[in-house]
Amino acid sequence: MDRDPRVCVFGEDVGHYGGSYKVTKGLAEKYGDLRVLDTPIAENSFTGMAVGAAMTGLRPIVEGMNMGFLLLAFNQISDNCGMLHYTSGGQFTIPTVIRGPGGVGRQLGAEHSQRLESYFQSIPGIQMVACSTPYNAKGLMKAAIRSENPVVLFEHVLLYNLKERIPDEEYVLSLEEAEMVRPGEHVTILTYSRMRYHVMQAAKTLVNKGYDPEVIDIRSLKPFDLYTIGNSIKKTHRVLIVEECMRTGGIGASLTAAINENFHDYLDAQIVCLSSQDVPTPYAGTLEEWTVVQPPQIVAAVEQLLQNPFVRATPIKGAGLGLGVRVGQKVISNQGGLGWAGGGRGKEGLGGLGWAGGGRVKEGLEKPFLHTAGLDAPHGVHQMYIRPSPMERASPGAPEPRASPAPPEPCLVVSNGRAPEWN
Amino acid sequence: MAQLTHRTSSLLKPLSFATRHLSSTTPITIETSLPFTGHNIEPPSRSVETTPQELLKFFRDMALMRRMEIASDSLYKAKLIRGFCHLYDGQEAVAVGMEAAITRKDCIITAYRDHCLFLGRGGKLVEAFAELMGRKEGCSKGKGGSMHFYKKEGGFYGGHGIVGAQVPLGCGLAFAQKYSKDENVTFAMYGDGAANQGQLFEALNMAALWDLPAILVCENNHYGMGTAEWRAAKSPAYYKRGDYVPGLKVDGMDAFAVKQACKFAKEHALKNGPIILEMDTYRYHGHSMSDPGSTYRTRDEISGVRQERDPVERIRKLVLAHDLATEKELKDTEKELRKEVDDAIAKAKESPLPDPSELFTNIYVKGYGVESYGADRKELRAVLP
Repeated sequence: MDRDPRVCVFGEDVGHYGGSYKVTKGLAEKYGDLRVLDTPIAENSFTGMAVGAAMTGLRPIVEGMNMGFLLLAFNQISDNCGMLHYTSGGQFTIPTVIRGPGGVGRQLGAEHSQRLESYFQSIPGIQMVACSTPYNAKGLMKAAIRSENPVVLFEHVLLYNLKERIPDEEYVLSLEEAEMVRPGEHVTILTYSRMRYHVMQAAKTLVNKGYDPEVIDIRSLKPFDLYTIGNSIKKTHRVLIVEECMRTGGIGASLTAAINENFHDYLDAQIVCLSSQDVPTPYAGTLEEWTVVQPPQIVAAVEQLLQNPFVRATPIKGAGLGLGVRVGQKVISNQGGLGWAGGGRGKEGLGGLGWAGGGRVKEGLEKPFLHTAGLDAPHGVHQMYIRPSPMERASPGAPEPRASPAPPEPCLVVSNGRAPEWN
Repeated sequence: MAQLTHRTSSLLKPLSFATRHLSSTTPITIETSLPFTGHNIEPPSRSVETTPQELLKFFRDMALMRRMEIASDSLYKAKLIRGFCHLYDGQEAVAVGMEAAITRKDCIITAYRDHCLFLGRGGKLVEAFAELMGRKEGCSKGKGGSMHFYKKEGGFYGGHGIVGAQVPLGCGLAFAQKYSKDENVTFAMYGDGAANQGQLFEALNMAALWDLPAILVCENNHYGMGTAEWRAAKSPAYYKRGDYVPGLKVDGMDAFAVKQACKFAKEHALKNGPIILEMDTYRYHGHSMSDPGSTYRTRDEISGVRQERDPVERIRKLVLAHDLATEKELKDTEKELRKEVDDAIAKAKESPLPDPSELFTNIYVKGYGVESYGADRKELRAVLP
């Protein structure tokens, strides 16, 4: 703001209050009320105002008090922010920065724990970046302000209290570049924002076990830094994506597609994507923990990836429909097709397979809706494409159930970070 | 609905009778057809100063706009214009009157009924037709279409498809004007349909809070697509909807009333903050080309307004009454404009379609890549392809 008088801040409580997370503390005293504008609670309109101001040459920074509130401004972000440069044939540039804290915090409730990167990623014309460390935050923020394009900068509620030594000199990071956090040889772990810390925690465990993960903080969510990612995949041939977005339509899903398209030949195993569950974030602390990826799950997934190069992280069928795992069930795959989970111990009767890698369920967790089955179960709750079991369809006139192709080898059962058991 | 045809256009006896050899800058005073109605404000006077030059210019501009819209109608039916096409004929007085009251440094932003406002702000006919037909020479390079006309040099900020979304943008333009302290105003235009949008009131609140030089202009053509205003709004007195923000109701079919109101509003906004202008106007076509316009209103109503309140006719009568041109001269002017429009259409038809590579241009500025450097200033990171 010192360097360029056109930079201004719009947001709720950014001025006199100093920002709800104190990001803009002290700015209003220094630059005045017009440059650090306390807006009323009208996200749609003040985002629109920022875009209008940007059309004339100002460089506004819009703060959403929580990223979830920016859903109210979706029209302005998508149509006006993202598309105006295009629909005006290049006449107007919109150098806005839209930033705010998102992500799952400490029991903030469903509406205040949203990850908007998955909703915004399709908007043409905007760039998205996610910062994870103080060094990143400063560099990316500077780059975003200086960029002529609209940039959405995703911060995380739980990362505001991090302390780090950063250089005194001025530095600017590139908006499209990923950061190599820990070089390695065995597996590429792609992550961003808060999950970086979970991954690093898991990495410690993995290193102790003798694995050498390469951790990359992708930082740039749109466009992906496929250059860095690609180089890494060419080295390690295995990818694990750990993200806080929902499984359906999240950043991980797009990244999986992008990597599959571009680097398929270099992959030795299926890309594994660990994401949050497709649920509204619950308030209860334990449930909230289970919606997000935790370090033991990351460790388990890496081990699974590395032990068996051809493992198929078979989807957990039926889980989305609330059919949980029975207590103590060791779930294995058999040559039957995919059917409902809860088939009992390998019973053929109800159509076979529950899950590969189902894991042991903690005692007492028989309630069907707890399909996450504790921290032990690896992620992968695909809720698409559920086919009814042969028994279900065995009514007169029903088409013959198709035999599903048998999985190439018996799948792993992984439980609780211990050595995997073969069946 | 009956009110619409009851406006007696008390066609004004000229207060100063002049001969044909009137110098083009001699002031003429004209009274507007109706007095202004104010809300929380003293309305301006009904007498407007004008000159013969301005009168003739009004006639010419409005006739050109009318001709352009009718030509767009035929182009649409010939399938040269596709998609949505929202025509402005009937409402030309608003565009022309507003333009006369302000400078090119003031900003105008409107919704999708933007063809004539684009012309008023200095847009060329060829650019307009080429954009409508999706050609490269269009004002937005063919990539915007009917609803996305912009002219940065002319201070015309569009051209927006989503109803009501342009009003916060307009307040943002006003914010920027206040920020840079240039004594200009923004006219954020919207229709009676958009007047029920929440973001309008949010933006109005903010504009009033910070005294932004924003003038909100409601072009009330009494129908929000197919819904009459009394079916959509509990209070169709849109100029009063601002509550603490003063408002003015203007006869939008009288270009001089519009000019007077806009001049008044500009002075007000620069001193006291936002003001709402409600332009009581009418559109002859339907909401867009896919709407015949007769399912929700009678043809009698449309022809009634055309006979009694047509803006171009009003100016024509004024010109004739003040003896500034003969009937024949005006007809010749219209023929000339018709030819101009036809020439522009022909030129636009010959213009090439955009290159396929244009699909990917102008999404980001300068491709992507911000040059970045580390703290030691020596290392320059590679810019990604």
